[in-house]
Amino acid sequence: MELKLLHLYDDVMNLYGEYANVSVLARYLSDLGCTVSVDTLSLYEEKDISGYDFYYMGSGTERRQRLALTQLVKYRAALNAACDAGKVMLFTGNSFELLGKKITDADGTEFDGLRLASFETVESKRRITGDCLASFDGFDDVLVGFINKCSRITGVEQPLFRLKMGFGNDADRGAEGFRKNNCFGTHLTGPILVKNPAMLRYIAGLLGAEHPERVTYPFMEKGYETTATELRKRLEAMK
Amino acid sequence: MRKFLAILVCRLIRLIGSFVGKGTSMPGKYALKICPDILARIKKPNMIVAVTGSNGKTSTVEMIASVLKASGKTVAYNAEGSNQIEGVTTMILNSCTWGGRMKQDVLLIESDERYTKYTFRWFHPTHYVITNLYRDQLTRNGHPQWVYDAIKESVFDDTTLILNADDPTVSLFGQGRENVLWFGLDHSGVDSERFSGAYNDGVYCPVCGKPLSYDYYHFNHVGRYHCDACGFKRHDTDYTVTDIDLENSRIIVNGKDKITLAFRSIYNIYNILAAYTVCTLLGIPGESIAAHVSNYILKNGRYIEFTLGEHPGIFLISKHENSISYDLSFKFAVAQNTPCSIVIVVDAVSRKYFTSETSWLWDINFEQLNAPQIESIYLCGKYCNDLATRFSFTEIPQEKIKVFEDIDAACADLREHGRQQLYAVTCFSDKDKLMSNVTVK
Repeated sequence: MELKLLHLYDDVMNLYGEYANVSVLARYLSDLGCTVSVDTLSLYEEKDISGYDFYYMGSGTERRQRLALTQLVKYRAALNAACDAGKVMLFTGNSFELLGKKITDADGTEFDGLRLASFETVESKRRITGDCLASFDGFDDVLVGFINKCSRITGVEQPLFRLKMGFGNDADRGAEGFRKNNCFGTHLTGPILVKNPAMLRYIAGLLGAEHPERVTYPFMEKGYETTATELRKRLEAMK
Repeated sequence: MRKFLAILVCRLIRLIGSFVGKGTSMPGKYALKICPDILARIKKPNMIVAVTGSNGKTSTVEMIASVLKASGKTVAYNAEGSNQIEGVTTMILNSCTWGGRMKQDVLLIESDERYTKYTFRWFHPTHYVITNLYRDQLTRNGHPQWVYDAIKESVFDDTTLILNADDPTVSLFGQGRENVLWFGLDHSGVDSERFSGAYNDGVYCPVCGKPLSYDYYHFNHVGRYHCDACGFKRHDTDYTVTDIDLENSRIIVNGKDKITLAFRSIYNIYNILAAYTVCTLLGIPGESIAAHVSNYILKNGRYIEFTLGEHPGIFLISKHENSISYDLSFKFAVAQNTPCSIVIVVDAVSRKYFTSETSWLWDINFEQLNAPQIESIYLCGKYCNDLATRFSFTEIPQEKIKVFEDIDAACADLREHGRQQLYAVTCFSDKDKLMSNVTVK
C-alpha cells in the first residue's frame, strides 16, 4: 500500500518538536509494510495539496499561527474537501484553532478561520499550561501529554478527548479538542504520536494498515508507561 | 517606619534562613508585604545594571561583579541567583543601610525574564543587558515571543539597552530606539554558512514574517541576518569579539583586548563580551577587564571536572527544556575531538516544578554526536526511554547507545569499563545524582 503524508508549515508551526509525529508515523507505516512518502508545505509555497492520505500541522507562537493563517486560507477548499472525503488529518496545539470560525486575540482583534467547524477561539494574556491525562473512545489506553496555550475554545460540536487532568477547550478537566470525520484537532502539544503508542496505532489503522499492533517499539512503550505512571501519581496527589 | 520595619524583617528572616539553609526569596516576600513599594523607597546607586535573557544571566552577572570588585568598585548583586522580585528585594534590603540607603557604586541585578516587569515597576535600570531569547522551559515560561512581550513591559525610555545584535528576537528591542548599545561577534572560524540544529527559529523575519537570510550562523539561529522584504538586519556592533581562536583558547575584543578562555565555548564568549561591555560603560579600561576575565573560572558550578574510575570527566551543566544549552554543550564536547563517551541524564525535568513533558528532547540536535571519536552514549534516568526513542531517530549507530534507568548502575558500568574521557551533560535538577558517583577534582 502506498501512503502519502503531508506536513503543513513544518517551518513555522514547530514549537514543540512536532516533526516527530510525522517521522514516527512514516517509520511505523513503513515497518508495517506500506510504501510511505512525506512531503512538506513551507510557508509561502504554493502547490496542489489534494491527493494526500494524511495531513499534519503542529503548534506555533500566536504570531506565527496568524502568519500561517494568511497563507493557509488559500487551501481552505482543499482542506475542506479532504476532511469531507474522510482523509486522516491531525492538527496539534494552536494549529487546530485555525480550522474554526474565528480567532480573537488578547487585544480583541478578530481573524477569520477556515470554517471547517463552527467553534471559536478567544486568546488572553494568561498562559494555560500543564500535564494532561486524556481518554479517547478509540482505544483503552489513557493518553498523556502537555497543553501549553493562551486560549479558550467554545462551540465545539464533537470534542476529541475527555481530560482527567489538564485544562480542556474551555474548562478544567473538560472536553478537549475537536473531531470531524477523520480530522482531529487537539491542544496536546509536541510529538503526541511518539508519546502515545496507542494513538499511533489508531492513526495507522485509519490509514488502512492491517493489524498495526504487530509492530511495537519497546522504548516508546516504556516511555509511555513512565509518563502515564508519573501522571497518575500526580493525579492521585492532587486529589 | 514601614520602610525600616520591612528592612528589619527582611534581614531577620534572612539571618534565620541562612542558619537553616533556606532560600533567598522568602525574606523579600515578607518585606514586600509590609511595604509594597519598598524598592521605590530605597536610595539606590546611580548605576543600576540589569541582566536578563534565556541563557547566561548568572555567568554574566558573576563576571561583571568580579571585575567591578577587582577594580575597587563596590557592588550589590544577587549572587545566589534568586532573580524574581522577592529575591531582588532580599538582596537590596540586605545591602542598604538601616535608613534605606545603598552606598555601593553599582546595583547589579540578574532578573528573571518573565518577572522582570514586576521588579522594574518600582525603579528603572540605567543599563539593561538582554543576552538572548531561546526556547527555554516552555512548560513554564511560554515560547520566546511570549517572553519577549513580557520583557518588553520592563523596557523604559530612560534605560540604555545593551543588546545581543546576533539574536534576531533580542534585536527587536532596539527597533526605532536611540539609546541602545549593541554587542556581537564578527565573522570568524567558528561560523558556518549552513544552519545546524533540530529546528530553526530564524527562518522568518520577526518583524514582517518574510524569509530571513543569513550570511552566516555563529550557532543555531544566532548570526548575521537580514530581511530583504522590510530591511530588518543584524545591527552594527559597538562592542565586538573581533577574532576567535578556539584552538588556542583566545579571543580579541574590539580589535585590541586579548582574552584567554578558561572554557572554550561560544556561550562563554557571549557572556564575557556582555560583561566587558557593561564594565567598559562603568569606566573600567578594556585592558583591565580583559586581564581580569582571562582564564576566569566561573564559580557557579556549570563546568566541573571529575573522575569516575579511570575516566577523566567534565560536567557540562545544561538546562532541561532548553535545547540550545544542550546543543552548545554537545558542540563543545565534539570539538574537543578526543575519544570519549557522553553521559546524558534526564531524571527530573525540573527541580522547581512537576512536569513529565519531554517534547523538548526533539528540539536537541543529537545528530552532532554522530562522530567517530564518540565511543558510546549513556542515556540515563527516568526518561531514558524517551531519550532512546529520540536517539533511534538519529543516524548514530544504535550499538553505541546504552540505556540505564538507574543512574548509579550506569556509573558502575562506566567505572568498570574503559578509561576514555567522559562528558556528562545534564541539568542542575539531576546533577547531584551523578555527582554522588564521581570524585570532583
